[in-house]
Amino acid sequence: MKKKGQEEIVGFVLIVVILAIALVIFIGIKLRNPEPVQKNSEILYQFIESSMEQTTDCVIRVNGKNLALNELIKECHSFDNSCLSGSNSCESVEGAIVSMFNATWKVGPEYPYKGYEVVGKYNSNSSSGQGEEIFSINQGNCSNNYIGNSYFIPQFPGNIVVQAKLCS
Amino acid sequence: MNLLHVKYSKGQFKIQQMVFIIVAIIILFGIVSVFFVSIRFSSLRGDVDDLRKEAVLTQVRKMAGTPEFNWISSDDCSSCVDLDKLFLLKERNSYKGFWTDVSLIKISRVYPLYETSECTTESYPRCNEITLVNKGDFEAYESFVSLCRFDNEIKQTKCELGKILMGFEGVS
Repeated sequence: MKKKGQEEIVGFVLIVVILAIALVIFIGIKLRNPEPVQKNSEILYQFIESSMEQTTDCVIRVNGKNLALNELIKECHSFDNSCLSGSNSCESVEGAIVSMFNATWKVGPEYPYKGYEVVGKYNSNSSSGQGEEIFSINQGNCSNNYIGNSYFIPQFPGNIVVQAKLCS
Repeated sequence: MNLLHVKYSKGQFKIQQMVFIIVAIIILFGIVSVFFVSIRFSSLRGDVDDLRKEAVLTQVRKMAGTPEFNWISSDDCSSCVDLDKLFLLKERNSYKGFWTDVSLIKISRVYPLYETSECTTESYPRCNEITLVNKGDFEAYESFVSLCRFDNEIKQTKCELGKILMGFEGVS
């Protein structure tokens, strides 16, 4: 037969064990399913904004001008014409973005940034969540932890959103 | 009266036990909350640093809008700087000492890169850097801009990706 003192100690130990288990479960859930964390990055916004003014090698019409990257993205979305050099306008968009990203940020397992994603979407209505995808570029590995930002290019009646993520 | 022989009642023991348990639980929760608060404050400190850096970056970017840097064209381009103008500024003696509170102002090409680093009369425009101020001993911040100029080869405006680097003394 157990003494009353022993029963109280068992009760106390039980409370401590239950609290410890609850704490371990809470921490376990927090660590196992981290929510995607996006930090809005000013430097990434400046990078996208400046990149959009970049003059590309793509000329659509004879005696026409070399298109800026934002004009080329509009061209890719609206007409998908080929450049005079023979390359497709959408391929030229992806080539220009990849070249600029690779020249600016080193990504890979041995670098602070493990990868990047750049997605261009057309939103006909600003209130609708999902847009029509124009291009999508992925390099390296992207986890849930990243810095990102978006840049809007007006394209009547909606707009084109260029979303960039740098994953760490 | 001999204090060593004071007898405590069973009720007093019970109260003592309960106090011990309450104190133990308070200490346990105290440790957990100190742990939690320290984690929260460490991330807050990081957020404050990020906000400060972004404020400095915005200030650096404002430099692109000053008359000495700004690219004036029919397009609305707040991030464009006039590369020809900056190269001429570098050569002008009247602008020596114009930017007094800044230890470094450098315009650097990001893409595409050429072989020559600092721009000279011979290498311009196929060069990568224009240094306007370099006093040494600074903490540098950089901001992306478009480097625009009229290109004689394609007979139109050509913009390329670059950045403005500004160094400030004693900023941390």
